[in-house]
Amino acid sequence: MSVSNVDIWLTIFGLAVATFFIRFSFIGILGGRRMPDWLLTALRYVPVTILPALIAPAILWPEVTGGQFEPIRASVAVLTFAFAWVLKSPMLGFLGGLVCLILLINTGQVFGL
Amino acid sequence: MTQSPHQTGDASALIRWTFWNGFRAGLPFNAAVVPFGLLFGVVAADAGFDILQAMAMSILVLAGASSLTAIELLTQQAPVFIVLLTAAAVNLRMAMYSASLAPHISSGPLWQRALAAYLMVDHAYALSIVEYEARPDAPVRAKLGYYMGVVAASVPLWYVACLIGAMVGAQMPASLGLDFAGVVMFVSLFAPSVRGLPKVVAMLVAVTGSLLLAWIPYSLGVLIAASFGMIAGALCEGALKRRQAGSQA
Repeated sequence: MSVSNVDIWLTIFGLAVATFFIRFSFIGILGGRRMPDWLLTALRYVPVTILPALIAPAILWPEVTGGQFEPIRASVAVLTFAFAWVLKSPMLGFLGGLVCLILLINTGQVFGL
Repeated sequence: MTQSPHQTGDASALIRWTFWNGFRAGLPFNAAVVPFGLLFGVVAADAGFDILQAMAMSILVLAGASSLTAIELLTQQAPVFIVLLTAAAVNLRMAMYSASLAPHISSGPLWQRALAAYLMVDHAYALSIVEYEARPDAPVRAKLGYYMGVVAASVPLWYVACLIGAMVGAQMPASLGLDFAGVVMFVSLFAPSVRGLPKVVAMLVAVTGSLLLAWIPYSLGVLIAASFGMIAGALCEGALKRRQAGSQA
């Protein structure tokens, strides 16, 4: 779990610079130039691919159990997806998911799961 | 102030008016800023960031999802280069925002555009572009005023929420299951966008790919799987369009 201080600082400064230039790109440097269509299409798929790919292993093989499948955390992930999708709101999905997480983890401990 | 100063020609009154308009439009979004900021602080503290590091990341990067991505990968012991590449990829959508805002604000003063770049969070873009398309002829200073108004409360609130999260983070009891709160946040962030067949296909390919490629060192499988997902989504979108065009012909 321990992350080196050098790695943390390199990540902070590197990500700060990279993020600034991504944001500054067109309003600061490239002006009103148009992006190629294939790039625009690809960018629309960034949120629905990178974030799911990042967390899929953490859902099926969570770190706290040492990589063992764990039904409570997997159910919380599915319920959170359902809340956020049906309500079309990241915030309500997040709050609903957190409530499920706390409730299920604590009832799970009561029943020795 | 009920009458719009767009016609009266008083430039500073117009900028003030648009600033407060933006401020009011941004208020509801602040309800989301606080829990995400708290969570960022807690997760950062949990991963071993001290308060200075958590605040440096919160203030300098000012992008919650990519910061949490970076922290998640750092705790998986991924090398810094991969961490940066993946976390920056999460922010690529902002290049799209920048391109879409450029025709409206790229004639503004450089320092204001640099400030707008730093402050380019999701709702700053989403609200501003609606305002710009409703009033395309407003002067650029007024457009930038609206933008600054939208984030005027959100950004300081984000700093404070992160600070509180980082300070209480270490004391949170395990029964809250906070090891998994980051995952809950990521799921709720992308789930509402999964609409229509191409997005579903893109997500399923990315998830399957990431599980199959989890053995690749340095968490590089995430980026590879996401690229496959993007290609699959784009191909599916193209095929659907061709079929639609074919059935109309």
